[in-house]
Amino acid sequence: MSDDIEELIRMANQIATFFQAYPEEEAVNGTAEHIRDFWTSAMRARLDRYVADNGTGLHPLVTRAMGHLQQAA
Amino acid sequence: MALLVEPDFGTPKRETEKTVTVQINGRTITVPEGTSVMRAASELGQDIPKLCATDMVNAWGSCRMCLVEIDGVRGTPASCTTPVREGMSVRTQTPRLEKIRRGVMELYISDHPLDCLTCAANGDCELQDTAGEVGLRDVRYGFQGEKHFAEAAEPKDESNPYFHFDSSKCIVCSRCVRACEEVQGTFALTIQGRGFDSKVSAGTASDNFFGSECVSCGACVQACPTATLMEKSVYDHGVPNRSVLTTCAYCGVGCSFKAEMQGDQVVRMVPYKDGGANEGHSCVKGRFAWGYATHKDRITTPMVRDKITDPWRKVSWDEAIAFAADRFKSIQQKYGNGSIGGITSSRCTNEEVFVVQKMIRAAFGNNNVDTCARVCHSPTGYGLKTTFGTSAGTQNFKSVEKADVILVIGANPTDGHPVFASRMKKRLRAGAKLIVADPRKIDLVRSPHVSASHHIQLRPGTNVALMNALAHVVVTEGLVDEEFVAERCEEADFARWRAFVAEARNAPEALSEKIGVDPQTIREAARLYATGKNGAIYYGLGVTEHSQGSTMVMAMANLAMATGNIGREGVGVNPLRGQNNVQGSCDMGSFPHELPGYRHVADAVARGTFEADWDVTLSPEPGLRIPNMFAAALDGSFRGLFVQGEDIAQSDPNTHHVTAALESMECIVVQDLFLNETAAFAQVFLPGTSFLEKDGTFTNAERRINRVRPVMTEQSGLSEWEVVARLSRAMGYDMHYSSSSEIMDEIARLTPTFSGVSFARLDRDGSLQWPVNDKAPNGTPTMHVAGFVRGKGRFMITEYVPTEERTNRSFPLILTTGRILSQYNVGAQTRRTENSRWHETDVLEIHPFDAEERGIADGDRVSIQSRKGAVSLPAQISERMPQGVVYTTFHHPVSGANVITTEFSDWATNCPEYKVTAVQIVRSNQPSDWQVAYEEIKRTNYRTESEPAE
Amino acid sequence: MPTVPPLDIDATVVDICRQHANAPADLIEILHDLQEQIGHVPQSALPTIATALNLSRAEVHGVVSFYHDFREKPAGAVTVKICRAEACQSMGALPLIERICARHGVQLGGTSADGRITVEAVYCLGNCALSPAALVNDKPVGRINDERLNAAIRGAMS
Repeated sequence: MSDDIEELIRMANQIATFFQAYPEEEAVNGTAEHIRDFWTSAMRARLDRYVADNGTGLHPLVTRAMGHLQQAA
Repeated sequence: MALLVEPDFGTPKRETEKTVTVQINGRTITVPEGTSVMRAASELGQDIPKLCATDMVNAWGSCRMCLVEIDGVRGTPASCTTPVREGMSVRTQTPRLEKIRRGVMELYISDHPLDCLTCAANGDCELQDTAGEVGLRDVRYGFQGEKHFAEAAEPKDESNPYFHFDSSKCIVCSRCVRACEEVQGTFALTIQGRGFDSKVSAGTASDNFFGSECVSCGACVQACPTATLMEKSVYDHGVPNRSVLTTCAYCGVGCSFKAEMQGDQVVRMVPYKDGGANEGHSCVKGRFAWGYATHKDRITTPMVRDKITDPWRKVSWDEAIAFAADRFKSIQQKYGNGSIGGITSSRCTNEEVFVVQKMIRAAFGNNNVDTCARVCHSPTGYGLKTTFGTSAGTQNFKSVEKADVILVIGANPTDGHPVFASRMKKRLRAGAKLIVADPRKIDLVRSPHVSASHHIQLRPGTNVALMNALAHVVVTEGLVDEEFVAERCEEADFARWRAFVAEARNAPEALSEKIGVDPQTIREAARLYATGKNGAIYYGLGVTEHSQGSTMVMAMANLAMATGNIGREGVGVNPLRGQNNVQGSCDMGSFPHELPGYRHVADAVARGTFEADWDVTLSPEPGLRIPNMFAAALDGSFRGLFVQGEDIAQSDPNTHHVTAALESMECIVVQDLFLNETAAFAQVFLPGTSFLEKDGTFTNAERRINRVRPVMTEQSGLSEWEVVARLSRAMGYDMHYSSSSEIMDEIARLTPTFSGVSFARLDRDGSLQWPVNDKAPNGTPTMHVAGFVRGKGRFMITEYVPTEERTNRSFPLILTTGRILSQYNVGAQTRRTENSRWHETDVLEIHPFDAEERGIADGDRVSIQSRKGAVSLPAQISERMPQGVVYTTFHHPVSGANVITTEFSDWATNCPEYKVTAVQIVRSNQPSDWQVAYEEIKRTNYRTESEPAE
Repeated sequence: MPTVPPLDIDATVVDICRQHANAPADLIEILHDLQEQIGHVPQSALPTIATALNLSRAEVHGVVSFYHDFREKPAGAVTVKICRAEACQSMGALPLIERICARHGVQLGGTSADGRITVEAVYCLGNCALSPAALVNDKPVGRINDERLNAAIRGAMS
């Protein structure tokens, strides 16, 4: 549902906005860890698919963080 | 137990290390310096007769009953006002003293009715007892004193719903007046007139108790030695004959009470002087508003139905549990393991919460458990854990007695946490300074004998900007406690933070326009907090319920660390928790990513301990949070929900969204006292137990674990934990407990911070503040004393990010929400008591200018419209509000405050942004569409099948 | 001199409190000033004083009701306070009070129906050498008898 991805985008962007005050590597890690620690796998998978689709509207830190999580997985 | 009569030492305990040794009636006793002769004698077990003295208030010396003889001292001084001196030799009983006391008592009784046998205080009257003690046998002046007899006396003041005032029985000892001043801090009572005309008066001559400034805390009733101020329940039922020690189930203060009983009927609740949280004080909710427990609306039989529009069908426990389990199992078969979950309640005991999360993790096989703390203090947990290492406040309540500067942010303690507020006000009257950061002019800003040094009347949503500005002043004006920071905090994080807050864009001058407060006020407040010796921060939901709630908690932690205000008495960062067991429900593993004791579900070691103990494999994946549950319900992947003692349909934001989600689910099980708003969408109703029936523990805002003891049997026949255990078994997971004490043993076994806790230990010691373990066998009143729990304190960068909820021409005002003294949360309990007399409906508070601009007069019905919806309420024009901000409470469901709140939430925890909603206000003379629909749902979704005719 | 109460007593009260810097310790002076300016301390003024001084209404009421000198309602055009402490009683104050009350048709402590005179008891004016003593509109009159007191009252009324 479109509604649902918008909500995830907003949540992810909010997280990135907090961590963007940190140097980039730390910010990517912070965002990735936060999403890993607090989101369900279904929510993460949904966002992954969205990143793979086109990822418009996502904070760049989110895109990098999701890539980071996939590598770790 | 029999009736527990606490000793009354006559005057308060002195807190000093210095001691004095004296002789009383030839026996020696050593007491703290400043102790009264009366108290010293009482501690020796040799009580001195008294009338105007009681140990909740300072000595007064007016009744002349407690006279003693002291060697080398002329006359017969009053023992209550005479402090002990080294080597003093006192006699408390001599023929001369006897004669004087009897003479004084004669005067009292000559002007007091002799209707003892029919008096409500018969058996609980200090005047009667003292007359007995002094051997009064005759009254030479007759018994027709002119003031106090039926024909001369004024009629009883029955205006307060819970107690009466009968001046004909009054001996003008001033105990009530002093209790109101010293214990409660309201100053609502006085002695009017003088001499024989002296009379206790609430407010001015034209007031009665209800119309006066009285907040109905009951301290005066407790202090009264006669039947003058008396609970109506005692008048109606007679004096109680047994007591049960228990804990209040309202706010996060967690007051200890003696439930005073006759059989299984509560006659009155009396705050317990040995209760660590409240030390013998209470508020109008805890002391008086317990009648909901036996209200006719209580549902005590399990009920089920196929569709939410069907009438409820009363069934047996077995049928209800089988019905719920079958539905849950079939949902899981169809939609997967993760398609069901549950929500725990902060009003239930630790034991009840623990078994619900255990059922979800072990029997449902997922981590879809969340708790109502999600919508209140989840940012506290995240923020304090990140910076300090522990998801909890740092102090005990007593700590406030040592604070020198108190910073209250986004909390309204006199309404939300009244008993703590009384303790705070006592300290303020003794000279501590106060800074209040709040958009509203709350009572603490200015009320009798309390006046804030600074009121930072910030715009809602700018908390983080304010904290950064305060921190900027601390860092740039050389106010950092360098030694503390160097020794106790992470160096690199501090350096980074220091550079960040020192940037010019974080200066008060740069942020002042955003915050809406002049920079000088911010600078002065920062200096006061940083340099005023012990600085203590107390905060509430005005901090957490924002899109930057977690950032704000970290920003406060930063400020406290930078100024060295952590790790001793009188300082700290202290959340004032909304509900009685918010702390406990979080501790008990109610979050979808954390096992009990705040250990992440992905932590294989922690998970392994639980798996071994529970004999089950647990999911390492975080589960759904409440808002995610609603979203998943709407997309069809989440279909079943167990709701323990919570009313998400009323309390969660964006009601339209929540009810749509609830309607789309296949099975909602509600465990509650009443058919609440959520129950309208439920298929199974499992009757719960009130706190008067529970056996367990609550953990208050100071991490204090208190016992809750049943005073009556479960009205529904089963304890809540037993119901959950049965549902677990029906779901296929074998869960058995023979008592709630066994559940606590399991908690202690599996949770390192609780390892020293047991019912036996609590019954012996009264209460314990966690951590209670080998390192801290007697608990931990103050945290982070020698070092932070996480090792070194971590400063976090707290960039101010404005909320996405913005005002514009269509929605020019900001709505913020809060609480009122007499009501509690969604009102399920307090609305079913006489407390509603103080607050019959929710109102919208609005600044006179904003009202005038819209042609709104006081009392007009207005429509409040946000981007999400509209409701209508009566307006109250109020100088407490700043221009541009309006305020309401959400104690009455029909108010529908959450119809208008948005889905915005805290970035880290999804705690909803209740405190900022852009709205427009217009005059309106009708209920909103939602309110009309709400009335309709009430007609259809709450029906119960009528009993079959015999 | 008691004057006609101004239309806005509230504003007067606020003003007086402000002159005393809204200091709670000045409560008694504020009450005196108020009685001086409007002739009495009306009940309606108490909440305003309480708010200004950051005291409770009860506290202000307690103080006002303790002092008999503060009157809730306006007094008559002339206020006569006659001492009934020991020295004055021994010199015949009590029958004199009875006569003056009867003459003007007032109860001790009250005001005549026409609003012209208020008669009150006081307990020692410190003028015992000239007993019995009285105050007529705050002016001391010594060695009073019916004639001297009536003359003083007439003087005050004219």
